[in-house]
Amino acid sequence: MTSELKRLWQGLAMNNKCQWLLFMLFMLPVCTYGHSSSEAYLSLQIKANQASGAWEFSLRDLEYVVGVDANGDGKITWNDIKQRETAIQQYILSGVHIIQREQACSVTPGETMLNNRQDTVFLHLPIRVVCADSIEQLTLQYQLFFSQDIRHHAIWTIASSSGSVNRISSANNRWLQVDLMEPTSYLGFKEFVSQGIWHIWIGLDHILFLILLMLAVENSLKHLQRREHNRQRWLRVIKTVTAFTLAHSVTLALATTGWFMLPTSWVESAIALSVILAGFNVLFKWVNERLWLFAFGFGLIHGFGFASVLLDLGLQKSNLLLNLLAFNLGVELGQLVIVVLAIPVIAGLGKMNSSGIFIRHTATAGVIMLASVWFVQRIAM
Amino acid sequence: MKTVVLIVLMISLTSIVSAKVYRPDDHTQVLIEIEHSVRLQELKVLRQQLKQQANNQALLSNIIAQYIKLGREHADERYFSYAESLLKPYLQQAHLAASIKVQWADILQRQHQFTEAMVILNQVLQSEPSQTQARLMRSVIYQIKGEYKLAMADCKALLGRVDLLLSTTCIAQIDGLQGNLERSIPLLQQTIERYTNNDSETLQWSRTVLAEMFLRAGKISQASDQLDEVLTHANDYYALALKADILLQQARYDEVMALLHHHRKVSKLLLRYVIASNRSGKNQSIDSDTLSAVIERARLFSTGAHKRLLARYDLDVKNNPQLAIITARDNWQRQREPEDALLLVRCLTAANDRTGLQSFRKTFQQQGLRDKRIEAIMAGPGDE
Repeated sequence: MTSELKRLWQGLAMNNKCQWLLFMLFMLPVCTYGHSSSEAYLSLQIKANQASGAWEFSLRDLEYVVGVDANGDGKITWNDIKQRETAIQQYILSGVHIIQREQACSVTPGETMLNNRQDTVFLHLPIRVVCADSIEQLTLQYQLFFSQDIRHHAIWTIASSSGSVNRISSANNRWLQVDLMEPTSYLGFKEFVSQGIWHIWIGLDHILFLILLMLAVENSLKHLQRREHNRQRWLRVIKTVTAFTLAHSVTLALATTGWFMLPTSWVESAIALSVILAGFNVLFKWVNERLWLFAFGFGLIHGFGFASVLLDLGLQKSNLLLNLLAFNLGVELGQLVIVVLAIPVIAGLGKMNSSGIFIRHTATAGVIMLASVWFVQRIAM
Repeated sequence: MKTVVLIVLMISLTSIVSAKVYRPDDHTQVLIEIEHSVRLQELKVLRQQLKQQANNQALLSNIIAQYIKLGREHADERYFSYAESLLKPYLQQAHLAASIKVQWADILQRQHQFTEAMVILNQVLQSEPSQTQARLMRSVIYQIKGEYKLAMADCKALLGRVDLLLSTTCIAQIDGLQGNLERSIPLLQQTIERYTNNDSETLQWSRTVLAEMFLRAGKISQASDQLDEVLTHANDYYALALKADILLQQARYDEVMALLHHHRKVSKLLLRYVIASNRSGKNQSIDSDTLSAVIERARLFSTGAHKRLLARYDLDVKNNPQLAIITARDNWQRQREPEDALLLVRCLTAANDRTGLQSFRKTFQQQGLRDKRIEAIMAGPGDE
């Protein structure tokens, strides 16, 4: 052992002065952090060639870098902030630059205020930005805190008439380009819509259940006059699909908001069972008039299945309703496409008499067999 | 997909806080207190000195050590970030002292950047095999990764080079993880008894390790006694979390709240506090809101260091085991400590995910980890 290490270890055993090594060891398997990472929040609302907003910085971060505690007593008061206000503002303005088409915009701070965020206090600085041209392509240059705190982040919210954008500045990403002509404010919403569509399209069990419902609707038309078929077909399809939609929307909402959940394996098994029963319903015509009730009952189960997908996307509390709505909308759109494509085919088969019945029954039997395999697999999970 | 989630989180993060700006009526009202402001002032002076003596590696090491100590004491990751920022310009230097490289590895592993930390430690040990600090740190990273044979080799290499209590704790811990609790618990107990007059933090650490070994052996009351002993000497956050978990398991929610009331600034302790307050029906929305904000921030910025926290939140606060499984599984890929295994198995059981449980059982057996709590959950129905 080197003499330096000997000294270190002796220090450890004899007193508490040289403890970093011990702390290092002590903390290794342990990661205990406070709510203490460093962030700043900057907002800009853009109108023509001007912008207004507010920039917020943790007093704790400002104290470390600029020094807010004017009297050095370890306690930061409003008096301290007022005394150091000029230095603070100079620091902020020296490290944040707004550039519009290679021309720097002027940034004028307003009156300093405070804002409580989580469990600490932030300095709130109203900001007014004026650029030479109408603001369309912004470059945001953010350099604050990084030289002292490499893991600091600044979260930007930029709003304009075409929507709002969120961006993050970090030590490795100090320059941000924002093209306001390409709004991305609803990207999250759009993405959740497309996830909803995608999920129903790749979910063979949902598609088969829907198609079997359509076949059952076709069966229910048999006792009607042929000339009534078209009108009644669409009416009954709308009624059945609406019941299915309402039901799965209810359980989707219940599950994603955490009100009521069922184990995934139960839900998946029940979905497979719903396909089997819907298949038998096509073959044996158990339910004809109250098909909407059948669709509603099993729609409740399918909703839990959709919920597991939505939850996998990392749904958050504050955006929950919007994302839920978007995802559900996507599911409905996807469903609508399936129904619109399936109905003419099913109606065509209905007109073919015996060969049509043979095709329908053979296909339905195949689906029942497939769903039975799923059911056995899922129940054994 | 990650981009979408990131955008959703960013919007959430910016909207979760109320924008009630104000100017205080009382200009002398204390807005925030800077803990250890004197120490920070001293460090500021030292940083100024370092600017003038840029090649003074001893001074650099001293400042880094103090930041790490502050971060550890206050469970405040900003101090590690300050240390990291200070180190950054030195990292390309050809003749950087091994002890500073070890400090760099230490900061990285605190962010759960184990691979990067390991590269540095291997380099250090290749050129200086007797670098005890590096060996100690490497043994624990091996342990976190579930590579017990390699961890044990490093622990054994420490024998005779460091304090007996330290090396024994290292060896007993790894031995116990491999299912030899019957011999490793008495070994550590006997060693601790020889040091009972010593009030050092090493002893408290050894007691905490012993408490964990008791927990894995299913001896809850002995574990609790060891933790009580640790907590009479210091408010160690790790010991507090372990003690709170024992009390939560025993549905002693009021005691959890009393134990953690003054430590809610630490995320993992706030999490346990909120679990206890929810279960006892005494939930304070301010604590839940703070925790919710912490979680959203962790989801957005975490490099992996908060996965355990996130999974536990989804499981025990949101009662959403399906969602918790995703994070718990990701966490289990990164680190393989008993607590990580316990969390994943609890999530899988709560979600009734039999396929997941089967696959976990295989990995668990391959790793050779032994833990009565986990085995009990896997053996029968029910979780915590």
